Amino acid sequence: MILLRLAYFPGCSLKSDYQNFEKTAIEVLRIFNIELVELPRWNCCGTVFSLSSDNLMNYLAPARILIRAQELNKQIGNSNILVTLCSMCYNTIKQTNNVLTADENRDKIDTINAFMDDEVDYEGNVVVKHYLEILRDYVGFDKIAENIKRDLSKLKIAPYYGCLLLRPDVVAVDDPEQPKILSEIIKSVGAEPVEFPLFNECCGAYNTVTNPDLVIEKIYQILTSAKESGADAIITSCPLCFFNLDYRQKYVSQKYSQFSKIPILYFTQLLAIGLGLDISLCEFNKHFVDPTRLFKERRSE
Amino acid sequence: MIVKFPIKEEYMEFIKKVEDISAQNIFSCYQCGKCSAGCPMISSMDLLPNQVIRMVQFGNKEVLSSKTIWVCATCYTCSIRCPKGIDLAKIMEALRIIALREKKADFLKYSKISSEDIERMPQIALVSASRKFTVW
Amino acid sequence: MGKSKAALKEVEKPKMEMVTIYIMGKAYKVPAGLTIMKAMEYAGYRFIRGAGCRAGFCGACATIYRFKDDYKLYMALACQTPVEDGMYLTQIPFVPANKAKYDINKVSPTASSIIRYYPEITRCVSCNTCTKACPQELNVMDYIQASLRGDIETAAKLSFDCIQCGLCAARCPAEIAHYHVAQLVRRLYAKYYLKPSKNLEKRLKEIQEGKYEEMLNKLMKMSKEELKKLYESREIEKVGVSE
Repeated sequence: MILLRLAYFPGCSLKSDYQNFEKTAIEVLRIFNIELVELPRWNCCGTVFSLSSDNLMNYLAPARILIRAQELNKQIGNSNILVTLCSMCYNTIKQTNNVLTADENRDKIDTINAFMDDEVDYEGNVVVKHYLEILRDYVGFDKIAENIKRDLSKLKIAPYYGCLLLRPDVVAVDDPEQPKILSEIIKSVGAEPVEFPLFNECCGAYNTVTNPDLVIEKIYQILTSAKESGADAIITSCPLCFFNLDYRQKYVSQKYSQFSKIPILYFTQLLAIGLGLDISLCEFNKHFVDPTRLFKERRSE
Repeated sequence: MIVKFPIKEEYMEFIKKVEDISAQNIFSCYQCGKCSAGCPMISSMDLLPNQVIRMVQFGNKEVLSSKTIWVCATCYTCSIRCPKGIDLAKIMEALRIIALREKKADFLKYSKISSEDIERMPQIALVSASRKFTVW
Repeated sequence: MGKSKAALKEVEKPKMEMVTIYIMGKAYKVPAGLTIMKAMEYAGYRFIRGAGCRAGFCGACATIYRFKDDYKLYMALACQTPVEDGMYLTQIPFVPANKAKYDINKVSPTASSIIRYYPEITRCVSCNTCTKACPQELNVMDYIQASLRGDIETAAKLSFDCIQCGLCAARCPAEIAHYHVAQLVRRLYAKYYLKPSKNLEKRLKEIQEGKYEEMLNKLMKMSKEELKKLYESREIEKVGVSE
């Protein structure tokens, strides 16, 4: 029985290569009677947030998304929240929302609303939240722990936050220098969180397009740091971090022959397995480094 | 004793453009180096982030041809650590924008991306790279 | 025997309503009720490019116009749009756009494939200028966004009525050539989602077996006069006649 419906923005990547992130996320919340209602007719958020003060055009894409959320919330009537799953989308839409709701930006807001004459005006009421915040504030880690169906106690998981979930401060879901939220998730599924020093070190992000060598180096550093701290796997919340951490291991192995691969998971996949959902939902075959053996060896069921 | 450094008109023009686009006060920086200490992309940079700011303070346009501004990943680590509250990420963005507009050419060449990469990478990789490295 | 003088009195020609239009900045008085294309020909212009089917289907006659004292830009097809007083016109007979080269048999129906051939779609800022430019009133931004997230079916259906006039591509700040993207998407949709057309396969087989060779050869050998005669004596379906 659904008790809470929340407007939800998937983002392009979650609809193509990384559907497993979305599927596991939706099913996990359903266990706790929360339904994610996808926005109608949504567009790409145009990540990353534009940092120039003289270009309003880059606010259009996130502004449209906020308007869709505004209108959907009027129909489903629960709240004024918009939930996002992809860290990059979260950061972009939330930072834009901060600009479009600040009083000193009235003229920018008016210009944007006037330009988008094919849309209703954005009234500035939407609150952008990341899925992790919904888990923390609307479900609670204790509730998650109560519903665990599989024994993951032998797993050592390193929480990797990346950048855009924690920085800049207006979007931070937790303390940027000492975040706890992913460790809490790992503990709630019964696994052991492994803190490691490079937990919020940038993976290189879009440099993977123009400067893949740089990304390969960063990944080598981050993954080695996690492995040296004793991790069996790493969880992440961003499809671009995932691509860099997972697929780019192919090139790390080519460069560093002694490098042994380590599986990367979305935190929702870990939750899905812990909560007893079908493992096929995780679509591990889409990963470059297959995490399946982790769950065959370690879990007892 | 006050020492005055007169800044040439053309240098002031560049500094003003950077300040306009970034909405930051370039002269707040007192070169503590915290940004460079925390920057994760340092290994690929020729100029350190604090050196870039220094050069902009002197109106030196050579920063536009540095490798640094094209390697910056907009991770905001510098921005949240600056003791003067300067949003260095915005300054890097302003420098990229000025460089792209002056050259009228993209930094990112789509044809150079391997087809294997393009097939595998999530859309957000290319959307963000296009946003950062192509002329608007 | 002749008609009476009274009946022969001169009939006054009814005054034709004229409007003023501006073709590339020069004013012309043309009859109201003409299409832009016909009005330009009335004014003495001859279309060598930028005219095709004259029926709103080929997309050759893309036109951009404004009205006096109005900042808004309007986009239309010259052969379909009637003239209005005060129109400031320009024609866009050709929009430069690169069409990617691909072998459709080797392209998979995913967002990555579309981005591989048209990476500029990742520059889309959702400004909706393309939709406003479309003379067919298609949801252009929506189909580009659908392509970006790999929703082949939606993109194909939304772009179906596109006539490739190029006005969207001419206006796009991200420099996307929407209609080329749409063409790739529709080809992928047909190849991977739709059932193959049995009639098409049958016809292709007939062509390959040479069923139409003789007829085509005969036509190719005819002179201009013979072709004209053949055309004029063709069977025409009468309008309004049932059966």
